[in-house]
Amino acid sequence: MYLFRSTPGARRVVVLFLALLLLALFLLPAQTRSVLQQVSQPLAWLVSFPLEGFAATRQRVTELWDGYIALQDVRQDNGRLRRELELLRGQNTALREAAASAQRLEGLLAFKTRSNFESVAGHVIARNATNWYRALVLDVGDRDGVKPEMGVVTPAGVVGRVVKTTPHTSIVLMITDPNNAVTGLIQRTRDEGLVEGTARGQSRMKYIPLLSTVREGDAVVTSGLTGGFPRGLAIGVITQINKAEGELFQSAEVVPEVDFAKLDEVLVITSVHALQEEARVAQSQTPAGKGSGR
Amino acid sequence: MNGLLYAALIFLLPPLQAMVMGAAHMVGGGPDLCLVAVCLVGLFSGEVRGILLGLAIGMVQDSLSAGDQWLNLATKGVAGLLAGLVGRHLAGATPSAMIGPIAGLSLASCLVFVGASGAGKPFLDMLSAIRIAAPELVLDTVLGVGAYWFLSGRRRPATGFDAR
Repeated sequence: MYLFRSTPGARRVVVLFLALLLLALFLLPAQTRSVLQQVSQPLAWLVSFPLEGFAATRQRVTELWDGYIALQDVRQDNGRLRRELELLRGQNTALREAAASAQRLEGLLAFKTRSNFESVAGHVIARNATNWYRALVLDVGDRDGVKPEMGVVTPAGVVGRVVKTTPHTSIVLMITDPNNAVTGLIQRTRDEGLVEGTARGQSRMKYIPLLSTVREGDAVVTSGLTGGFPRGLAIGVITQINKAEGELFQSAEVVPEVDFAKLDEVLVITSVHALQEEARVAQSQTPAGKGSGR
Repeated sequence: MNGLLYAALIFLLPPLQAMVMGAAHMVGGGPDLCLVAVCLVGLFSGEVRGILLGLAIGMVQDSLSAGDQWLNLATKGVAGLLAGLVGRHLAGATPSAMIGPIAGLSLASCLVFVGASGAGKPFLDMLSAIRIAAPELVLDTVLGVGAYWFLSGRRRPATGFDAR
């Protein structure tokens, strides 16, 4: 503005000076560069303040945008992903449970296939409704052919005996209940005795002959004399022998083979002799069987 | 409404009890929810409803128990009757006054079961019986008194006039 108000002579001088300066810039770039640098440094220093201010403001606005406004969708995504994670975790647990169940059922099926009795598989759905009996509630009953006095087993061994049935459920008294008794056989010595439950949740084998050489670690199996169980099913292992002075028999503490705390599926023995009979008949009908029969 | 409540108690509580026992057997014993319910109904609604509910709930509970078919039926029926009589004579009693009656009924029930389940079993020693009975007695009393305290704020226990 000053230039426009100045006199024409002064104006010409200024224009000439600027023209010479431009000419010098073109003709002597190396020399003018250092001069320009020296002049521009304080200017750059001055300009740096507002520049930093603008940059900081821009940064804050960007952060605000990225951190809050733009994250609205991310929050929704996060919620959705969390729900998906929960769902997948639940599915994972269910699949693991299904795999474990399938494994148990596979074992039960293999046991059922190789066993020489007819049986019905059942799930343990509850425990005894009072504290005073050690019993299980199964989801199979009269309609499935289950009747009182039938034996209940797992691949590990004897579980107990059916004492009550309804059309859809049955109550199984475990071998650890004092009201239950099964005739047992010490596998090594072939001595028989009566395996009863005790109040402490274990089992005890009574009426073992005094001259028996039973010892700790001997396996006890079913003798087959009690209805409901075929011969040779595992009952437990002897852990302690009680031989009192003057007694006619000795007794032994038996730890059951079955873990009653982890029972899920069991087999109810519906017929002990059916398959044995079928096998015997089939054997007798074959030429070799007939031959041996003679 | 009352009919629905009683039906729910009769048909849902024994299965729930059997489920509770599934977890409770790990720690040695659980409460007898059916006994607690029968006691509360007896205390609040009188001996007639107490005994009727006791008989019905006991019958269902017996079908889920390995014991004799009469055991819970009789025990719960008598418990309902006694609770009704207690409720009649201790109308408006404080919850702390109910500790004795509820614990007494639970103890009596336990003694019946000791006698029934251990009949002819000399090795059902007293220590084992106490080990089963003690948690049940304590839990029954705590649950019963707690529920009585909760319900007494909402309902007035039965009096002689109510029963008529």
